[in-house]
Parts: sequence; structure tokens; C-alpha cells
Amino acid sequence: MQNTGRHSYESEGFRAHDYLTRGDEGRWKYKASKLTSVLAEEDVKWKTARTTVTVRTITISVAPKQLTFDFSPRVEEEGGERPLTLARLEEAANKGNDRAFVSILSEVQWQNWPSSDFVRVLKLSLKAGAHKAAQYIATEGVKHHPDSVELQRYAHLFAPPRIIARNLPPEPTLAANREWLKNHRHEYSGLWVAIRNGELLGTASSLEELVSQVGSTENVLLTKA
Amino acid sequence: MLLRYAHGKSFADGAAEYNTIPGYQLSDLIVIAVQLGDIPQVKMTEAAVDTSGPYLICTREIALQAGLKLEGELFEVLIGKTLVKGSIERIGLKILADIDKGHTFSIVVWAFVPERFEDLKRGEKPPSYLGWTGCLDSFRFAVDPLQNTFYFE
Repeated sequence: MQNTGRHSYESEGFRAHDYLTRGDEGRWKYKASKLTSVLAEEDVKWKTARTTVTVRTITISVAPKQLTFDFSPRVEEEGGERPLTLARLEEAANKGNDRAFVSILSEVQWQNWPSSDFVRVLKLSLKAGAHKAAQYIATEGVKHHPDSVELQRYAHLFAPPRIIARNLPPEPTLAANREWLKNHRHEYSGLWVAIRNGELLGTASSLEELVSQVGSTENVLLTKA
Repeated sequence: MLLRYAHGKSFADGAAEYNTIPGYQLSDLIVIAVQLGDIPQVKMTEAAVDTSGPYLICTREIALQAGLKLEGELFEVLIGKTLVKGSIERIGLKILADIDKGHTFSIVVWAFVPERFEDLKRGEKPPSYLGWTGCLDSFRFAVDPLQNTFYFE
């Protein structure tokens, strides 16, 4: 229906109203009136048809997770990462790579490691050439397994060197022995020699034989010429 | 004259002159007189200063004479680039001072005794070596190559 101004006879709506209300029964009267009254009374404006799309928004909150830089396959077994760590330590030990060994060792969390694994890692450290690490491993082992006799033995063995005494008397025969060796060592090359205060006491092909030959070894220098 | 810090405190209380022995690689070794073991089995012998290696390393002969039992388990130990099997025990070590050069010094260190000393490819002259880890790293020492003198704590 064409949009026309209000109260205009020229509008189709008005003429439709006029026709319908003149009907005998007037049965169109209300409906027509309603229609035309709506048309007449309202400022009818054309509206743009729109398609409404309802979008359901889902919000997901995820805490950022720090990725590791370890791209090696992760083996999830009983004991967590311990089997993988042991494998890496063994690999470093087999390659004699003490730096890699110590680097891996520094990341180890010792909780729940059995005493047997402490022993195994200690022996691997010696094989890797990471000798100082043996002391650390033995100490940690005893800390976690204070009742382990084996780990106590290793902790004692690899305890730090211990100063026993200072200010002990000097050895008066050193200079004379040095002088004899400088002058005569080459004459007995390959043999064990016994020297006291610059004097040769005996020679032998084995140390055991030399000691039995010399008797008392007090203040006697025993060395290989 | 022994070594002191600028403020007068002693750096080294003992000193001894050393001999050098041409080594198997035509290099001279710093060789000093030491005592190994504990009374009554203590033995005086020669030892080379070797900061490149670990432990006090000695031949089985000298270790047994110095009182080590060598009955415990054998370890596989990397010495330099060589994997060597041997015993590890603690041993008494005395660094002996010359008569006019202060005092002798006594310490218990880690000893490694190879099953076969020849596996180290060092020869048996001298029959023992003072290495870094577990031995030399436990006390102050210095070398004066102009006077062929080894200073120690």
C-alpha cells in the first residue's frame, strides 16, 4: 500500500475504508476502521527488514602454561621421570661427559628415589669423571635413607678430606735423598730403591721384596728409580 | 722463607724443594717426598703433583705397604680419558717439609688404587700422584719453579 500522508482521500487506505464502511451489514466497519485508524493515526514509516542472528558467546579462560624446552620423549612410568633421568645420567656417564652429567644431576629432585638408585648414580658419576659429584650424591643419599648401611659407607668414603695435624716436625733427610736420586737414579732404572739420609740401603724388582730386605722402614724413602 | 699474605698471616707453613723426573711424554714432573698410610705402616715415598687428575693415585704395591686392605668393591673411574678399574679408600698423607722450611702437614685424602697401574699409561715413576679432586683441593699450595720449591699449608 502506498504510503501517503494522513487524512488524504487520495490514499488507497482511505478509499478502502470508505468502501468497507458503506457495506450493508457494516461488518467490515470495525476491521476497516481499525485498519484505517492505524494508518491514519500513526506516522507509518517503512522499516528496513533485518535478519537477526543470535550468537552464543562462550568464554574460555585458560592460564598460560610455560612450555619446557625438553623435546625428548617423555616416559611416564611408575616413579615419574626418574627412569628417564637415570637413562640420561647413564648416557652421559657412558660418554665420559662429566659436564653433561653434572648438569642433569643439578635438576634431580631426590624425593622418593630408592637407595639403590643413589648407589647407581654415584657409580655413574665416577664413570663420568664427575668425582666431586660422588660426594654430593652420597650425602644426599644418607639424608634420604639414613638407615642404609651401604650409603653410610659411601658417605664416609667420599667425606671431604680431613686435616689431621699442622706444625709437625720437618723431615731432615729430604735434601740428602734428593741429591742421591739426582745423581744415581738412572743407575737403577726400573728397580725399587731404599734410601736413608742419602744412603742406598737396597734395591729389588718388587717393593715387597725390598721391604723384607731392608727390615725397618722408618725414615727410609722407598721409590722406583 | 715461607709464604705470607700482605697482612702477615701465613699462606704456607711448610715447603720442600722438589726434583723433576722426565715423564713419558718428555714433560718434567714436580716430585716431592711424602708419607702414606698410618703408624705403624707409614711409608715414605715420592709423589708427583698432578692438578689435572683426581685423587691420590698410587700403585697397589705402595698402597698395600702403607696399610690399605684393597678388599672392597672395585669402581670404574674415569681418569683423564681412560676408564680404569680400581679401589677407592681413604689414606693418610703427610707432606714433608725440608729441615729449614717450616712444618710438615698431615691430612686424610681419597686414594684411588688401580687394579693395573699400567692402564693409566703413566709409568711407575714415581709410584704415586697427588691429584686435584679429593686431595690437593683440600689445602693451600703453591709452586715456585725458579727455586724448585713446593709450598703447602
